[in-house]
Amino acid sequence: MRLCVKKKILATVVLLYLASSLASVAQAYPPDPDNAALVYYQAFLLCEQQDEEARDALSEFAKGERAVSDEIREHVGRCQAAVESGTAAAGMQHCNWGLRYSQGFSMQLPHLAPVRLLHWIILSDARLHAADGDYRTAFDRCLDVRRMAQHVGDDTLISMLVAVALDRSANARIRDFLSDSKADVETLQWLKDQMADMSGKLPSARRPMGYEREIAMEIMRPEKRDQLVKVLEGTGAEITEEQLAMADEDFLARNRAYYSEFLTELQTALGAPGGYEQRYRRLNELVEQMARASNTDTSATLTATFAPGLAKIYNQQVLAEANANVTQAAVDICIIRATTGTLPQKLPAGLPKDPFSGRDFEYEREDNGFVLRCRARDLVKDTVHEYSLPAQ
Amino acid sequence: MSERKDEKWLDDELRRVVDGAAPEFDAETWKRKFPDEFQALVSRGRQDVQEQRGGRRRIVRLRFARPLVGLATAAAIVVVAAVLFVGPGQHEPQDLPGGSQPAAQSPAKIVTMMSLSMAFRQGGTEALNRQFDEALRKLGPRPNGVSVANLLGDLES
Repeated sequence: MRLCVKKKILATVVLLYLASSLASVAQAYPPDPDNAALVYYQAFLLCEQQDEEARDALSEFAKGERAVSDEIREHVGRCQAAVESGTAAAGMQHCNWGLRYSQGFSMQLPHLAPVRLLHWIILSDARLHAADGDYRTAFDRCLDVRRMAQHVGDDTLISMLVAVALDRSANARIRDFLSDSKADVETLQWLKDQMADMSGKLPSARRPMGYEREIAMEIMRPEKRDQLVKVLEGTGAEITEEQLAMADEDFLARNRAYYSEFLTELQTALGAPGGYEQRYRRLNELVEQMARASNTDTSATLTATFAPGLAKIYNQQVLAEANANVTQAAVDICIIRATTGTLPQKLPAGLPKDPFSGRDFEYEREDNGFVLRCRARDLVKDTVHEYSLPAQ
Repeated sequence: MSERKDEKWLDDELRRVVDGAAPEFDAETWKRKFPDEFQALVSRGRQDVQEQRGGRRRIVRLRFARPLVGLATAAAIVVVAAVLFVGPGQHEPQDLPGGSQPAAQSPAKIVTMMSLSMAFRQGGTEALNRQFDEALRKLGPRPNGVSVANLLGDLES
């Protein structure tokens, strides 16, 4: 009995010693940053300096418009440090790009161009892995780009446009790899779970609209007149002395009121119940009304300059949603094909819907694969989007 | 050196310079009369050169410089004299060629929120992408291949 107690004490002492040793090792150096943006910025610095030709080659390869070549392999190989940092950043929870909102419309967004470059590099790496038969890593890279899109986020409407473009790009590559039909059921099931986690997290225009409203309202104050003139001149507008004299306190107050009301109407239209077509037409109508008003009513002058092209932005958002949904639906269909050896006769129930119509995608089997089609037109491009997944 | 004595000394010097028919500053007399201040000024001049080489040294020295009343007074004399010597109008800062604004626009202008928003409004996503391509061409990414060995080499040279 006494011996047993001694053993317990000894074991406790040894455990405590081990725990304290491990803790001291863990405290030996500072932790990694918890802000993904810092790691993305490192990835940008690690991107190889490229001429225009090399950049074009990389983006074309990432888009699937160019075949695998030794040159591309070499190029992507030289960018592995950037890929490693970029994917590590994508796996992090929190991302703050450190944007200086106090600069208003002069705020710089220097991270967006390198983010595009980094996403080409990562998607190129994904394609190389797929070409080598490593579909799990290929899909994982695409998911990293989708996570990166979430990090680019919706701080501003421009960030949001970049984010949805990245997301569409990554989804297009996932569909390309699905077309290869070589991924096993386990990998496809894993992909489905990962995509389900990301579902509904696409950046939307609502939050950045609130920020843009604040920024624009701020600059229309009399004490910010000089800043306003600079921003207007930055747009290429030539401002005459007469116009400057006209921009008095009353003019600015009227413009602030008009802009505020207009933005409220846009935000209401964006959140209104109803489908894509209804919202798009209402947004377009509001923008056209305002543009007409600005010809005669000087209260709408600044709104005509600062108001975002929201109908087009909303269209991009819906298009990205369609891409994400169609990819999720395609993964389900591919799981059935990988399990049963054949494509389903009809679209399985419960799949994500086509946001253009609010209905299920139209599913069509073809000799060498399948097509998923939207059921309503994209009113900006005046086309019905369809997504073909031919078996290679 | 007491504060009061400082003031008298300063007043005398100012009166001599301002009331004179022709503004003059007799550096040799001043040097003989106030050798300590002269030495302080000379050493200050040397320190200024050092400051230009290292920002940290400047911060530290400025903190300690405040209590040196004699030195500040001597500097004030020189400034007053210099202003009177050069005459009216000539002491105004000369505009740099091309005005006070930089002649060239910063390439970073193309990545401002307004500039990118305008590109999208005018030409949709295609125009926005063109502007991003232009930004990559002009602004980045940064040159790669900077190894630790290169950095150390730069520091040693």
